[in-house]
Amino acid sequence: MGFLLPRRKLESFLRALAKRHTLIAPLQREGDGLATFETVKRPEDLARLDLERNPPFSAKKLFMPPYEHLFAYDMATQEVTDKKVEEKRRVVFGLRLCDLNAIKIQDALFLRRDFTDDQYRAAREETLLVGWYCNTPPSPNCFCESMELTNYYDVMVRELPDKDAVYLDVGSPAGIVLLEGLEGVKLVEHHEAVPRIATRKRLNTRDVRPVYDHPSWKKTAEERCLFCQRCTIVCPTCMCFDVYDKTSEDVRHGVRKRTWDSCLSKEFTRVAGNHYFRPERAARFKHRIYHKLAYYPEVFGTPMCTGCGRCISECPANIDWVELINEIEKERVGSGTNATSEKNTRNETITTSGTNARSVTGAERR
Amino acid sequence: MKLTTVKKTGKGACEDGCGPECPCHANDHRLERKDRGEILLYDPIPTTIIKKERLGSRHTLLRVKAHADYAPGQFFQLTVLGYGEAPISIASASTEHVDFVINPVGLVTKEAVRKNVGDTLLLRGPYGYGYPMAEFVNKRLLLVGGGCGVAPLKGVLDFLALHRAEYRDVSCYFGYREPKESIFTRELAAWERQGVFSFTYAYSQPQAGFKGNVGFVTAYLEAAKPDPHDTIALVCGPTPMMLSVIKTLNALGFTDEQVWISHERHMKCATGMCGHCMIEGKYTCKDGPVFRWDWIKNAKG
Repeated sequence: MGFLLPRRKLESFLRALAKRHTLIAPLQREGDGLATFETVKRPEDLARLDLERNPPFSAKKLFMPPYEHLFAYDMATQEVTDKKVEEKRRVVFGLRLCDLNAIKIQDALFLRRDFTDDQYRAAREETLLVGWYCNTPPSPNCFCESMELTNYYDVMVRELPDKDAVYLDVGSPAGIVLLEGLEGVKLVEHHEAVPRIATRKRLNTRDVRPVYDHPSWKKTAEERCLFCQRCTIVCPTCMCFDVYDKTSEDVRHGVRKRTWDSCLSKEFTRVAGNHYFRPERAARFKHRIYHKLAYYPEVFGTPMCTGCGRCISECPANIDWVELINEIEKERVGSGTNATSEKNTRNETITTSGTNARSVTGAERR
Repeated sequence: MKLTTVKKTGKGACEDGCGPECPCHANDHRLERKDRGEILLYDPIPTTIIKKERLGSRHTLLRVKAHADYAPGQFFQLTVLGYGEAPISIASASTEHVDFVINPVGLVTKEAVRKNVGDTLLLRGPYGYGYPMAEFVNKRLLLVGGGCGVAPLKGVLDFLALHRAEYRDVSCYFGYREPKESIFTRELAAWERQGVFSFTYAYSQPQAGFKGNVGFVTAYLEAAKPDPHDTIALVCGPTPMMLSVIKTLNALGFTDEQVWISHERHMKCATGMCGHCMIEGKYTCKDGPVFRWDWIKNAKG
C-alpha cells in the first residue's frame, strides 16, 4: 500500500510532518555544510535538507547517543538517583535502506526478550522511521546489494522521476497513521513495488570463516590500518559500548555514563591484571569484520553489515575491506581451498581464544 | 535444578524471623519495583555486607545478604560507585546470602575490599549461564581449580553439599602458588574430615623446606588417574592452567564434552550487548562464563 505525492509538494509534506511531530532529517550544517541528522526546529530549516548524500554520521546517535547518562549517584549515601529514560516521540526522515536495516539490527540486539536495554527502548519505541529510497546509490562505496536488506520502515519515500512525483510506501500500521490528515497534503492512493537497490560495488562472498588465517588480513592490519576507530564511529551497526563513572571534583556525587566503544582498541579486552585477550592487531582488525559477516549471522540470521560503505569512504588509510575480501576470495577460488589452508598453518599467529591471552607475538604494538 | 526461591512467610518478617527494621528488608521495595520494570537494566541494587573475612594472603571474602536465586557458575556485576563495575563469580549456594571472593587487582576490586560489615554493596545479577547441575546428576565430578578459580568451584561444592545424595564421588584438585594463598581451608577441611568430598592440593612455588605436594595439579591428576567414565570435569583457573589441565584430561581419556571450563573477560553490560566479552560470536556474559570445552575449543579471537 502507498500514496503518490507531486514532487514539488515534498517540502510541504515535510513541513506538515514537522508541525505535528518532532522531525529529524539530514540537514546541512550551517558553516561547513556537513549533512547530519538534526531536528527541524523551524520550517526554514528544511531549506538545508540534503538528500544527495548519506550523512557520514549515521542515525545510530539518535538511539544511543555517543555519551549517555545512565544514572547519577551520591557517594555518601550510596544512593542511585536521577535515572533518565526519556521516551522520545519523533519522526526521522531521510533514512536510507541501509540505515533502516542498521536500526533493525540494533533492535534485534537491544530489544531482546531476555534483556531489554531500557534507554534504547525509550529512545526507539516511539520513533517513526521514514526512509528515503536510493534511486542511485549515494556513494561509490555503497555495496548494499550484497547484504540481505529488508523493508524495515514505517514509510519509505521514493522519487519517481518519470512521473514527477514521490511514492510513499507504507511499511507499518503506524505509517498509515502518520500519513493521515496531514495539513495541506493531498495523497493519492497508489501501489508500486519498491525495487531492490542496484550497487556497482559488491562483496563477492560473506563466507569468510575459511579464510581467517589468510596473510592479507595481517598485512593490512599491520601495515595500513591506523586503528583510529573511525570506521566503528561512522558504522551504523557498530554498537559496542563502554560504561564509566564520572565523579565530581568534591567526590560527593557523580554520573554513570555509557559511551561508544570500539573493538579495534587494544584496551577493549583488557581485564584487571593487564591481560589482553586480543593483543594482535590482526585479530582486532578481523574481529570487527568477522563479527559483522560471520558471528552475528550465526545467531541472528542476517549479516550485521548493511553495506552503507561509510567505513570505506571515511577510512583515512583508504582501506577497502570489501575489496580485500574479494581479492582473498578470488585467490581462493583460483587456487582451490587446500592451497589457502596450507598457507594458513605457516602464517598462523592466532590459535584458540584461550592461548590468545598469552601468545605475545611481534605483532603486539598499538 | 536451580535452588528454589525463598518465599516470605508473612508480612514484615522473613524466614530468619527478622523484622522490617532488618537490613535485609531495606531493599524489598527495590526488588519489587524491579519486577514491575521500574528498575532499569543497568541499575545496581544495594545489599548489605554481613561478613568480611580474609582468605589466605591475597583474597577477601565479602558476604552480602540477598534473597537471590542463582546457580553455581553464575556471576554478579558488582558496583563500587565512582569506580565502576566488575563481574565477580559466586562462591556460595544459598538463597539467603551471596559470597564473593575478591582478589584486589583492579580498580573496583581494590575499592570493594575496603568496605566493611554493614556497608552497602551494589549488585546486579545474577548473570550468565551457570553449570547445568541437573545434567550432572548421578555422575562423578572432578573439580580442578587454580588460585582464584577455586572460588566459583566452592560455589559448586556448596551446591553439591546441599544435594549430596544426587551425585557420586566428588574429587577436587586445587592448585596454588603458595600454601598461604589457599582459600576456604577451614570449610574444605571440614568436608574432607566428614568424607563428603576428597581433596588434593598442589603448590607450584612453595617456600623452601615445604613438605607437601609441590608442582602443578596436572602432575597429581596424572598420578591419580581418575576414571573418565561417567565423570564430568569442571576446570576453573588461569587460561594457561586450564589448557594444560585439558591436555592432561584428554590424555586420561576425557572427551571434550566432559570438560567444562570457565572464561574470564572484560564486561560492561553482562547482558550480551556491549560486545567486550565476545569470543567469536559467543558472549562470555550471556552464553558463559562456563562453557563446555567443545563449544569454545576452536574459537578464534
